[in-house]
Amino acid sequence: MARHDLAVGRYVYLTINGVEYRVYYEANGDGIPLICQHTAGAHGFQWRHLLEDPEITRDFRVFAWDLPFHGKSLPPLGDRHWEKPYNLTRDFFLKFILTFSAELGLDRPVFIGCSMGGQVAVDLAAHHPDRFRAVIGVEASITSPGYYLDQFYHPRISNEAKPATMYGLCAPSSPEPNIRETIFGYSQGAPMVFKGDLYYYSVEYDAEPYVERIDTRRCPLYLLTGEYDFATGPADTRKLADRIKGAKFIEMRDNGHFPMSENPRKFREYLLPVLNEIAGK
Amino acid sequence: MKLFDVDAFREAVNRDGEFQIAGRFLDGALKLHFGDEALLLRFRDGKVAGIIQPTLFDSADITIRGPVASWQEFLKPVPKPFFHDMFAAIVRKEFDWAGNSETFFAYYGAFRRMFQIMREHAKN
Repeated sequence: MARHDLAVGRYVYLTINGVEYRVYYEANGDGIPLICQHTAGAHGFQWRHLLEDPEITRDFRVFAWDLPFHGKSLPPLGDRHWEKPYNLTRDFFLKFILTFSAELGLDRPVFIGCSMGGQVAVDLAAHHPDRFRAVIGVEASITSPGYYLDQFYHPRISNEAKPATMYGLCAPSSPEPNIRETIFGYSQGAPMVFKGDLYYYSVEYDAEPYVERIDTRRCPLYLLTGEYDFATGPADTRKLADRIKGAKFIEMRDNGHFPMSENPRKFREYLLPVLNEIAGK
Repeated sequence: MKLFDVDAFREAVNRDGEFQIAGRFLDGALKLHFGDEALLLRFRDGKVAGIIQPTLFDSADITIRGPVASWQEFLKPVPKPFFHDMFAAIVRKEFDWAGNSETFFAYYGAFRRMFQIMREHAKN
């Protein structure tokens, strides 16, 4: 008898700004919907340990997608995308998450996202608080400038540069096989995608104008950051949390920028209490 | 060089499987400044061809510069956050770098592994 992974993958068609996308996602579990956003230039594989964690999936139905252009979600057939630069915009990013949630009939899901997913968690809490039971921003900050780099999309620099530089975003104490899996995901991305995602992360995202208007009574906000994350380190997240009344900040020891995939055992030690609190346990 | 065993480091880099893959076709020179001391690493076809103390007029494709205290922290078995990786340390301005960014990014995987090997040959 074959041993299957517990997550089940399938495709859903989502229309955003008049363009239809065939979107791959994986799901497992029962209960409160928990939707997971991967980091820039990666795909939903980063959440595979969460998808198989029985302590999480007994209370939560976990969903992890590949954004369009990422992983198994191909570019749309109905758009001449090859004639324009790929840049992930806040408009598309927010609409994608809201559309996924609505089309699957999810009732006020919990959102968790890492890196650009952590930043969009802040955007969701600010702009769509009533659509979510809670949001969890992993490796979030007020801004994250300086990473929209040509070196991440350059004809003379191969896809090896991305995993190589992502290695240093992981903590030295994280298990080597998990680090290697995490950075392998960065070598899988289409050449333009990582830099294009960083357009949102590093250019468009700026919570400064509205950070203090986030109402955590309408949408509880949790912020978790790994101590070895040099892109958005604990001090950066602390500055964000200090500006939002009611936001809860947790610094994660022995973790870096990709806690859910670089050190999933350590990550769950920090995440489980948060999820239990959201579930009212 | 008081910070690491240069000869053992060079031999270890040249026999390292990961470095051989990541550093394939690498030609050029990397100059490292450890406070007032400097080393020039010359690469030929993916191997460390030589490590010398450079003169003022030895050029390099990439130069990385940091105070001795920063190198000492960087070379610890488990450095404190942002000294654990050269890219991290440069982004966090613990080290300065200059030179050809195309080479730096194209071969960062090789350099990253090389620095890890340097750490394994640090003198305490």
